[in-house]
Amino acid sequence: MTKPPKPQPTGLSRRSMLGAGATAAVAFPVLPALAAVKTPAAVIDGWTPKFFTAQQGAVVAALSDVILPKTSTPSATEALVHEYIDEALSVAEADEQLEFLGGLAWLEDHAIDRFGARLEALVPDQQSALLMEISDHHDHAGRLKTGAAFFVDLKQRVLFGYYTSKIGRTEALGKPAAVKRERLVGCTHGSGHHP
Amino acid sequence: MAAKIYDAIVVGSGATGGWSAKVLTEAGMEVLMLESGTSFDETKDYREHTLPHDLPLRGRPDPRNELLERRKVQQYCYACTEVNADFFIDDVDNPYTTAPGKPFNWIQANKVGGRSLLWARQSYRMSDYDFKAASRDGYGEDWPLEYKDLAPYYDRMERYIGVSGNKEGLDVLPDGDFLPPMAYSCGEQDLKATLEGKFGVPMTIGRTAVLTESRGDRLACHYCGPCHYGCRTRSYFNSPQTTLRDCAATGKFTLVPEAMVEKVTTNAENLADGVTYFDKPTGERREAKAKIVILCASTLASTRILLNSASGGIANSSDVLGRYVMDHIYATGVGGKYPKRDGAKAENAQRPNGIYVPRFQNLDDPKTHTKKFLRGYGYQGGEGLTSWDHALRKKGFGAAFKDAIPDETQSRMSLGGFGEILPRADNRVTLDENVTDKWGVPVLRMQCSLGSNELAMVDELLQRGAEFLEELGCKDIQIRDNPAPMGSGIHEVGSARMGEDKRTSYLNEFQQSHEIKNLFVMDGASYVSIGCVNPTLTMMSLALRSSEYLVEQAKRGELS
Repeated sequence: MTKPPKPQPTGLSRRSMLGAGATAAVAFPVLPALAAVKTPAAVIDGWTPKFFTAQQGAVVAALSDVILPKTSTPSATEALVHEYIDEALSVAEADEQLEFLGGLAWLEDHAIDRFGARLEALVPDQQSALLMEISDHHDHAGRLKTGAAFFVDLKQRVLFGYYTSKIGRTEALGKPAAVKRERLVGCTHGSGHHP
Repeated sequence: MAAKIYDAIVVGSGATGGWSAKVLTEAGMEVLMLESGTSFDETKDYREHTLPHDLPLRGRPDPRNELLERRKVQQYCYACTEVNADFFIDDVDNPYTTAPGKPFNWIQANKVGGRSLLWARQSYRMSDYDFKAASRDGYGEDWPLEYKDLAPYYDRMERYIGVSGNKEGLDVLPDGDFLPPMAYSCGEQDLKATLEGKFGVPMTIGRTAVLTESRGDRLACHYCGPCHYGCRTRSYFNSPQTTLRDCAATGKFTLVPEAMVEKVTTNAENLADGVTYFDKPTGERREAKAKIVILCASTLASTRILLNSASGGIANSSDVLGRYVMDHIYATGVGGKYPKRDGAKAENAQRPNGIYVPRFQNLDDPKTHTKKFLRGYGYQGGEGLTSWDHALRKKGFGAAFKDAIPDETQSRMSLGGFGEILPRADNRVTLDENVTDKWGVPVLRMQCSLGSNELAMVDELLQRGAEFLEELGCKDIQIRDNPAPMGSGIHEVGSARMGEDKRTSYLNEFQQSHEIKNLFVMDGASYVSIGCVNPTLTMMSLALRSSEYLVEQAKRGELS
């Protein structure tokens, strides 16, 4: 079957005003990261997204690592979560694609509002602060609603992509890399005596 | 050269067809088996070790997969995924229609082995609560046989296929010849203690046609999980790896795949003399000739062939053909969190089995009687421990969020109801003369729905189930109160029922047509009532019994 045309989100406000490499076309309420703003859209070495632009791909990858950073177990991008999200969206229904891109655009605008810089240029703490604003810690209404819906959508994709990856399976969940012969143990305690 | 005349044609290579052909070929008869699905290849038709990361979308339906796109009905079945979509029938080429307001899910296989490759393997004996149900409560008809007639065949069936389970000494769920049972989880032990201790309701581990001990080149289960993707160790019963191998070993067996049977043909003496079928790759109509015809195409596929073989259906002066379609009440039940076990780690071993709560209503004990409905239901379910998916419902993100996930597993207990659907003459299938399949054969029109007895049973099974889970200590108990359309249980039976009276039944107790003595229907179509246990073990035991009868009758010249 043929791939549906890639939809474009509508109703973009400030993002459409940002030409490639443009940095300061809007008024910034706060400017803590201006130096970093000069960085053009980061790209991930060796990865050509199917669905995202290189810049969108870089943003999604960065946000994925804010949600599941490297700790004693690998990070989201080490498990190639960004590639899974791109792959899944590349074959999704048009409205699902649009919803994701719309949410991403909203967050990119919000980054400009809050930090006066493009999302991919923010340091992880700033990206984290942005996500905290829209995270599921709070109930959201009004202007943050779009962002909050995007957070949930992105987080579900990151978690699914991570734990169904080979790295997620082996290193985060401690399961063997390939299926092997297992023995069923079951309850060995007797009724009512479980630890 | 005249076409070869076989001793028998068996239509369908699944659970029952495999048994019928095994009995006949081992008795020295030349058997032609026609199967509408593609051939089974032991070198590539097991894919059970596929892991999510082997698939581009990790197992979620992939719209690029054309096989899945053509199986929108089949995907209702949990077992139909990207991995094995080719095991299921192509819905586009094989349509059916439904009456207004009467949806129906018809799940069919598309491979040698039929649904024996895909079944859930639960194997329970029926009892005289089922075979003699009409005598007990006055509804419908008794079976033309009783438990003691079938018991020796159940014994032999269990020994051959290998059923693991536990003996419980219950008259409603007769014990069999079992391999060692699979183990309960801790939560299930608690559930059993609550059911039996607080409510007097017995519970047992699922009786399942999966080996827990090796037998020759069929090895004990290695607990990888998805049996419906095939099994390289031949641990679960399916016909290609068991009965069909036995057939082939006789040298008397010819198996033709991709042969979709259209009609049973008859001769001037009103005896069946063969079938016509379509060779699916070429679309050619062909003929095959035999002295005996045995349909094991699956309940509704067999009935479709019979309806299509003569105007009004072949051998159908009773007008029973197509009527009394049954299934199990399905997709209703209760589930709840079981916080006592939160944090427990799931084993890597994935048990292909659950727990079973046998029918505990309307038995001999007056305490079990209810006026709300006839017959009864059982539950299948068990405990499930999350691995990581609890994180989907957990608030937050970041390092601490991530590192806690492996220790925050959650236990969930579920009880899914499987209830008896009563036989009703108006739950029927007919031919839809306005719609044909890819080969030009009229399709079935399904006209089946649940009745008031079933709906009353659903209410009760939800209420009792919730009560059980609450007593156990479950939280956030949810009920699924919307039973699925008929067919969804994939236990469809009836439509050519057995009986002693040829005015009210289509087959005798040996699944032989009352009107054409060399025509047999040895699959689920022959059911008189469905009981509430999974049907395959009984279907195969009936086919074994009838096939041995057939061999004896054929030897005596009674079928020609």
